[in-house]
Amino acid sequence: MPKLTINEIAVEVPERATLLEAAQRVGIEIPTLCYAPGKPPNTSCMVCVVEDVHRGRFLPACATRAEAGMVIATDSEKVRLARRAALELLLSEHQGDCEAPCERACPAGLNIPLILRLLARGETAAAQALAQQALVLPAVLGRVCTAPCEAGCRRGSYDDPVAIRQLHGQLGEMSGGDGGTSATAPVSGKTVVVIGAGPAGLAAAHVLQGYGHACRVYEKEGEPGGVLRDFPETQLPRKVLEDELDRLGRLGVEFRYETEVGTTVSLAQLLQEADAVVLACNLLSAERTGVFYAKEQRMPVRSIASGKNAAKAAHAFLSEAVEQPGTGYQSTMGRLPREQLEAYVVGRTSPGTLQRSRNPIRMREEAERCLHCDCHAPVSCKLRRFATEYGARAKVFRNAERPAPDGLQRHGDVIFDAGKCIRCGLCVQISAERREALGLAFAERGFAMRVRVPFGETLSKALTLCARECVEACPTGALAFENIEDL
Amino acid sequence: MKTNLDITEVDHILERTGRRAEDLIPILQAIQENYKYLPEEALRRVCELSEITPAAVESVSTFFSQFRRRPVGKHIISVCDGTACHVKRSTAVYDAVAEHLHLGATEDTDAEGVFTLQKVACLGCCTLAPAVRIDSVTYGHVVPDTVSRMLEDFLKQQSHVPFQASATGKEAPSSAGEIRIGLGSCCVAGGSEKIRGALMESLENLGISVQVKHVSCVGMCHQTPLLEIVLPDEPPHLYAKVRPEDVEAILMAHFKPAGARAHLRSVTSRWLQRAYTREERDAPERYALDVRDAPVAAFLGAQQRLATEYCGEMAPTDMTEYRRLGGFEALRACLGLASGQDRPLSPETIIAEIGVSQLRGRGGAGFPTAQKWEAVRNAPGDRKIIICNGDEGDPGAFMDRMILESYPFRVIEGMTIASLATGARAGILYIRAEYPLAVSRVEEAIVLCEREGYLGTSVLGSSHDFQVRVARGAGAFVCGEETALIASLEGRRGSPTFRPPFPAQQGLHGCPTLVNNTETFAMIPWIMRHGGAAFAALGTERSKGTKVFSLAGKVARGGLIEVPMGSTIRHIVDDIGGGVSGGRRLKAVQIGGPSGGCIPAALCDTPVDYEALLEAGAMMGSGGFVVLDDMDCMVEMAHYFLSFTQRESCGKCSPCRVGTKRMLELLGMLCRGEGKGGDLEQLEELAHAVKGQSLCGLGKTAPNPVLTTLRYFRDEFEAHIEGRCPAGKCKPLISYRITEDCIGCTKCARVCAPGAIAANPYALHEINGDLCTKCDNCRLVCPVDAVKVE
Repeated sequence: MPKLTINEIAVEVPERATLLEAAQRVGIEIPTLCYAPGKPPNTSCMVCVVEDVHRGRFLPACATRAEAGMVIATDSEKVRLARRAALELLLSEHQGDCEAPCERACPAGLNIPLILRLLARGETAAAQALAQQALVLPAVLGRVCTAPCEAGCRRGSYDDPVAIRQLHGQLGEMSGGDGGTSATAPVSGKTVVVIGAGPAGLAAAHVLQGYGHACRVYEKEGEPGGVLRDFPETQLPRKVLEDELDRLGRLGVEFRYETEVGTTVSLAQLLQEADAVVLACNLLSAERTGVFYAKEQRMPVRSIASGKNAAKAAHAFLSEAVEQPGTGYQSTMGRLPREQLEAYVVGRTSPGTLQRSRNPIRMREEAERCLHCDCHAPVSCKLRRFATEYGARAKVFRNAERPAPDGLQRHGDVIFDAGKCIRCGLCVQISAERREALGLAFAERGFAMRVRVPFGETLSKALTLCARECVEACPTGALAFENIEDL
Repeated sequence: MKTNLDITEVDHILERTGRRAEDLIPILQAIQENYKYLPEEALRRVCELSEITPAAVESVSTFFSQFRRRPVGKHIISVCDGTACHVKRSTAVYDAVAEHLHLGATEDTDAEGVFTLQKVACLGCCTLAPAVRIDSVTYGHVVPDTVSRMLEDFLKQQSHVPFQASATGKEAPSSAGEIRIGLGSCCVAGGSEKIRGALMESLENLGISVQVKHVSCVGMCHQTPLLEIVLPDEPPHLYAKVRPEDVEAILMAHFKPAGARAHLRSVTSRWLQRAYTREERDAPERYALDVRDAPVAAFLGAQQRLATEYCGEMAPTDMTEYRRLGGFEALRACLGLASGQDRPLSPETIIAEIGVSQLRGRGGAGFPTAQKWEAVRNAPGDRKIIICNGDEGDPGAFMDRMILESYPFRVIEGMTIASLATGARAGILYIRAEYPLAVSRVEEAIVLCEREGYLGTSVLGSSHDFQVRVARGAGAFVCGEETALIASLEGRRGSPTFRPPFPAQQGLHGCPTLVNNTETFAMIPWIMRHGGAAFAALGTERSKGTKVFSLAGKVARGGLIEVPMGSTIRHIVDDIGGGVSGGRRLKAVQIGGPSGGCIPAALCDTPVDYEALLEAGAMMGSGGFVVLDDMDCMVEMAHYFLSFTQRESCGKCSPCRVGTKRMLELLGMLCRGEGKGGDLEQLEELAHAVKGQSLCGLGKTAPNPVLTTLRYFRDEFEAHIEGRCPAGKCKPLISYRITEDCIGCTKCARVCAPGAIAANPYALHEINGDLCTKCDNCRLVCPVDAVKVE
């Protein structure tokens, strides 16, 4: 029974135990990507390195047997930097986006690939709810938004971007829908006052209502809409605006018009009658507890984003929750040359020309043009988790070449996105253990090494027995289920 | 192509090779020998007929560089890009061949399907640099200008029946004395087979009957082909760089022709004298060497030969001669068969003797050999295996090739002694596929040893069995790493595994396995014959005995040398190598190949010693010793070595797979003048990460060439960031200019392929910078040194 020290804690382990197992005994967690319990170590990711203090070297904890007298550090600065270096190297060859470029471009944070998947599957109602929940005014934005999403759309550098704006516009103008608040949280018993019924204020009220807070909107004019009313009829027909505002009005938010803060009512008064106040009227006041600011901006979608953020902050204040951390590490592929894009376009609906006209487009067909650049495993991806935890820097290497992407391969509800593979070898190991007739194999060597189906066969032929097992073992979104995890 | 492929041959191949998972590499090699590539139908057939899985076929057939998955031309042209060739402009040769064959940027085969062009890591013919191999014919000293002649010669030769080399002459000689021809790869490439043909023909014509002997490599590879005439009571006459047309004249000078042609002797003899003194006939290089001549004496005399004992005197596969020269005495002594012995040496005694010698592994890391043997001996298990690691893949090194080609018996004897000491009953000689001659010599030697009872069941009548076979590597530098080597022997990708467990505990098929380098085994018979103490008397305090180096690069006399440990780098370059060639200045010596480092001229008093070299940032490595002069750019050298390791990385662990790639990109940017402030710091940081976190020795040592050059030549790196290449090597950073010294000879214009120089007799020439490809040809041909690089 060797005795050793890990982070100055003495530990005794059985013969042949690894450092990883030894650390687990004393409750020390060591990050691993390529290791799976019960399988022989692959020693490929080197994220599990620990420091052998006596000999001044790094050891992979998953494979190194604990020896008597070892002094191991798992959390020293050196170790953190070594792990960060290993992660940054893996990320530098990572060919994939944690979130789709369109989604990152949308200030309001609409999960565009998801909405397009819903549309493509014919789940129009769900798509509509999603649009309403995220954009608050999907019909209006369908007319007035500058559509940064379409500028970010990867398909745009192949032929035309997916007509995202028009799609959510059409969804917004369709009858029905409850504004995406059907699944509201239980009533919180708190009241929030929102000042201003422009897009920012409306968005804030909508989100707060969704959190289960009672919401009252004060507006100095006699009707909601604010700056939206300045758009000409040709761009934003009055009917579209009124219909959407009516829908919002039916959601239970209380509106009080012709009430101006500062004249009709004072901020102090409001703070007495409500638990929190969101100022969405470009009125600035000194920082005060319980007051949150949203800004009306030139781009309506930014105003909506601002309103949503203020509402989230107010909600966090009211529920005494710790504010949600940021989205975490963002792997981005950036622009792909056309020949590389081909690999992703294969199997997508043949290139259609974007219909810039106002004529309704066939939504399902248009949605099928999406390349689904978002990661299928944004939550469970260990690479992303550790990259965030160890503060890995994106793009540390200038002009770093990444292996040419292979595009996606499908097998039932399993997809294989080789660009996101970190060559850990777990799926290769599993398919060999399960005696798949074809299975997966490492092909080529060095930087060109990749996981491939032998003889250029399909994923369906390769994984007939253990597809799910492989997906579950995959530390990233390389092997994943078609249904993307919810954030 | 697919439809008319006959795959029934696969069935026959499997009959021969076996059908187990571990037979995969020999199967693929046999398929490729048959079809010239690996047709998918053939591979699928292998999976049908054997226990080998498609995944194994896919992963192994794409891992090793020997295997091709696409059809190729009738002949394969391999341009060597080893270190010695690289510094002698092999890239220009490659480009010239590509141009000659009209290959597009992504093509490797010409339109007619005659030739396929590829770059190879190292052919191990460093003294012939730059070297090119077409199928099995090696051409040395190729320059872009001679490419078309080389291809013509090859095609012409295809129509002749190739000369078959045989080990010994069949007829009994009548004249006293013997004629020795070097038949090492260097000599063969240098043209010794043609010389032999001419020799046999001349001997018949002249009616001379004398023994013609093929001897092992002399080590003077810079003078190939060599012909030595040994007559009783005369000092041996050694002729260097012999041409077939010279042969008859040389014979006439030493032998008395029989019959009618005798009268010619005096005539030719006079002609010979003239021929060798006429200056215009390549005079400086073509002369009769004599061991008493100063340069030869310096080259050969300063060496001390243990592993390469009887170098140039012994026929590689002549067992009688090997025995006569003390061969198998060590083995007999171990078995208790020497005179005066009454019982065999115990394994402990053998290991103790090796221990006394303080022999350390010659593969590079320098692990004490006795300790390794002891570990294998003590490891539990009945089945133990010995592997001779001859997978020498370092660009710029050819020690293992030469030892295996020249002294196969010695290596086998060393392995057999190791088998007695460790209790192993099976042995494998793992030899690079690029060394066909070594493979065939060793195979021949094994057959002879089995016949004479040195190998097989009950070795020399003892109770000890030792079966030995050859396994051919398939082209992966990483297989020099013992766990990767073992993986490939088991029919898997050559990816290393984490140690421990060490092969000594758990190696091939889980059996305790002793893996030693070829040179290490070649040392064993000498040590057992002369005693460990005699070996330990040589060398330095911690590095004992001798070390074989392949001396190449910008040195006057390259070749294979063996020197006592502790010899200084300066002694090797100046005294043995005859100094830097072309009168240039010594800049650095690259020792240890891609795992080693560049030792600057200022540190040339560093002795050859494991620790001293490590301290200087290099390492012994397997023994590459490449001399660099002031025309060599150290940033480019760092880039060259790293591009080798990066290409050879197995890809398993990310620090090596991605880290070496990122380092290479940084170095590439420096060489292209795209470097920025902070690049050197990032490069260093990255180098330490790769060194510290890689899984195996390849990754752990890959940054060494970068770190040593950064350490000793940092100013040169900084100059590149500023947009200058002081050595004038990095093309994007230099330009060519013709100075006033130009005499208007038009030579430069004639060699300028892109037509950047217009011929203008007797007038000052000019280079059109827009057309200039910076191929350096003009500078090389200029008789008055008027082409300047800026």
